[in-house]
Amino acid sequence: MSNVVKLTSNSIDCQAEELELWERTQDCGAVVSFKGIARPTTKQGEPLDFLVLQAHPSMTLKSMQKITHSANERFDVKHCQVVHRHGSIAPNETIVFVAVSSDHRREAFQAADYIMDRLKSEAVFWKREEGAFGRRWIEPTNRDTTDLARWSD
Amino acid sequence: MTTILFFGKISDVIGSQITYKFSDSSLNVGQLRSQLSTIHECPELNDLTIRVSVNDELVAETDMVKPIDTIAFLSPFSGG
Repeated sequence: MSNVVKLTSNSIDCQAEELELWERTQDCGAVVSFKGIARPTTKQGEPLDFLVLQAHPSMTLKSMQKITHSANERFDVKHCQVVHRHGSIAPNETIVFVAVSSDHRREAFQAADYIMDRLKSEAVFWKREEGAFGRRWIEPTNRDTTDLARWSD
Repeated sequence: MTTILFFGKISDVIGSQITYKFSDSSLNVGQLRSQLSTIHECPELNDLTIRVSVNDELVAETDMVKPIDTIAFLSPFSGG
């Protein structure tokens, strides 16, 4: 089992990240990867200049590591690669990359889904939208909460 | 002087960090919150949805803080 969890202010090179996972995944039969992308508009339909993700200097990475470790414990997966941006993110740029490898596909799909649901509501980030409308802090949506509840025991 | 950090929406109101001089040797989180709110004329700080971390751990209002601690006020997390 190995986890690589990164927090970066730079662009995420998803191919390089997947390759990094692949290099330690030769013993697996399935790889599932996901990337989350900044949408060009707000929920209200306004054009977005930037999505800004504020991170805590130490708690944010710890929260990501905890979520990823929890996926390892919950599902029979071997390797996880989780990379998250912080700072100013332009529309269509990648915010988050998650890849999971396992012996069989079901566990990899479930673990990637689980990691994303928890990142979306529990990871230590503060997110705001910026555009011609000004700046607006955003909080987890009802859907995020509902998605997270799927994993409650 | 102790540097106290602020994250999320509350940082728009009070700033991303302030320095604070402890006048009491023992102070709990609730008392610190109340003092900062008064000193900086920031009633928003009394919103208990703004959690406090001490040395990277979320703490309760009754937990004690010391000048050497790393203290942060955290608006509700947005998630990633």
